[in-house]
Amino acid sequence: MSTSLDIQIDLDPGPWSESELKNYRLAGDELGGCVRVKVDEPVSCRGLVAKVGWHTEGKGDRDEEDVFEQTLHAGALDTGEFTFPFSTKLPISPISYSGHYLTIVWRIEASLDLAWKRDPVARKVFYVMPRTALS
Amino acid sequence: MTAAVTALPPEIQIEDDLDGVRYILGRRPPGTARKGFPGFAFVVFGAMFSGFSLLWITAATIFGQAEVVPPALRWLFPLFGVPFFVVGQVILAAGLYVIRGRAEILVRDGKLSSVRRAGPYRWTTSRSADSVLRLETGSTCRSLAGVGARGVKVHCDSATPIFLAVGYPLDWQEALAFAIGERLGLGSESVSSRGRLDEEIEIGPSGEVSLTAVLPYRRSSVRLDAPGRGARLASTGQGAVGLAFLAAFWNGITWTLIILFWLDDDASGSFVPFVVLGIFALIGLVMVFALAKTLLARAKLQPGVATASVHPVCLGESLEVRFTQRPKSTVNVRRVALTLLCRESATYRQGTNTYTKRHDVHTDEREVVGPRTGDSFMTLEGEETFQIPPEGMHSFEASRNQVTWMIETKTELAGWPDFTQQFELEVAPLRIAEDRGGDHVDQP
Repeated sequence: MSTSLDIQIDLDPGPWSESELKNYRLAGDELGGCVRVKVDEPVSCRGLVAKVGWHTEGKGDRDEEDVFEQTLHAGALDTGEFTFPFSTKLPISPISYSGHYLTIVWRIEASLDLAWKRDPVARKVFYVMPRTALS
Repeated sequence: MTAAVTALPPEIQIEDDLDGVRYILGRRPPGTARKGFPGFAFVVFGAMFSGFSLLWITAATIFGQAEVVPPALRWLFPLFGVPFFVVGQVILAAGLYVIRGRAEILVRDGKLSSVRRAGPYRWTTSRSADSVLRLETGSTCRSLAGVGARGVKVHCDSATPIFLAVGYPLDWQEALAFAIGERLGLGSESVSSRGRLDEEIEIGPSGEVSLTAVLPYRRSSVRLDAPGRGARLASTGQGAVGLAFLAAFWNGITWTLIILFWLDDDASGSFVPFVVLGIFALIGLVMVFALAKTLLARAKLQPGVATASVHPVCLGESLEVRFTQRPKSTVNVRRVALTLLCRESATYRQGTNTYTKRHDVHTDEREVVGPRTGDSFMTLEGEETFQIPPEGMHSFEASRNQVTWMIETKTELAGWPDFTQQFELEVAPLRIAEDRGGDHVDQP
């Protein structure tokens, strides 16, 4: 019998109110949100980890860096829906970029480390804009 | 903040005398060196390469005495293995440095030198102390010994940057950058914090910040600029020395083989080796042509100097670039052009080969000097205002992907090759006001 687990990442509102810009953030700003975990039956988790970082895509081999990592929860999870908030300050660089050979992608990732089971993972891509984007 | 980062760690020995100073770094602390496979692989490969070359030299010396070999070529066979032996030794030394090497830095006799030691090997790279424009910590080294590791990058005027303290902890690099910067008379006004800027910078809702600095684009970076000439841009080297070595090496081997095939009576009927060697010879001639072009351009003109009104410049900002260059003799100048370039570089591996693709995502060319004739007393001088696009990308450097901003200058002479130079431009993501009392983020 397999355990049904659902992980979802929700970000707090950014500086822009338009719905198409809801995943846009300014470099150096706070990135806050929460990880929602829905559990159908009790499980023992070794850790619910949230990571914020960037990686490159495109022609070149991948470069990546995590700028934030936090264990949001460790231990048993009963049946139900749980919310684990997180918050971190974004660095001022690099900003999100889409060029000819190079794309810089910012993402937040939440993974649940379960014993003897495949770890469920949720990912969300967001965009880091330069502060000049405000003007 | 500055006092805290200038303290050198006790592991670094300092020999200070009247001639200058020597920083002896000792072995890298555990966990900071690129230990294990890369260094070990270099050592094994270098040893095998050198061993095979030595075997070749020995065998060629013995068998070269045979009567069938023309006397003029008896010395050529053993010599053929010498460059390979040297290359093998360089790879071996690089591997040893990665595993158990140590570094020294010398500021002596008007020079800044980086010394790397590994077992019996020792190699030094030096630059004139006066030519040093900037020190930058946490910069990725691209030379063989320590490739991929981080060190203090020394940006120099009209020369390829050199690296200090490659593979050593960032704290050591920062302390050394401050100490050496002080020795060289570089200012500390534009020193950023110790890297972890994301923890130290506080940006409020209306843009106020708690740190005064021009923020570097790397998170782990300290910059030291030369006072008064910080706006002078560092030009990248012309690469003539490297090209000369490569051309000599390539052509030496190719033409030796061509002569050997030519003299070999048995091979005279075979057409395929000559076609293959002909292609190699053609590539060699292209190298010689490129080298001659660079040297010819240098024969007529001195290297130019570029200064920027703002440096580092931020996204959306404008900067005035001034360029001056003097001829060495009478020249007929067609024009001098300045180009603001933003170049993407992406490096990837395919099988055992490594390739780098480049693409210019922004080019803005302006002519600053029109046609004119003059001698060595004439100064070619031009000024132009460029704007960094606000929607563009700041300078970005990761191991395999880069976004580089530069000013490329091209001086076109009638009847002579063009003289081109590239000056690195650092584009930062944002500027923080210099006013400590009321710090705020400037919006260009």
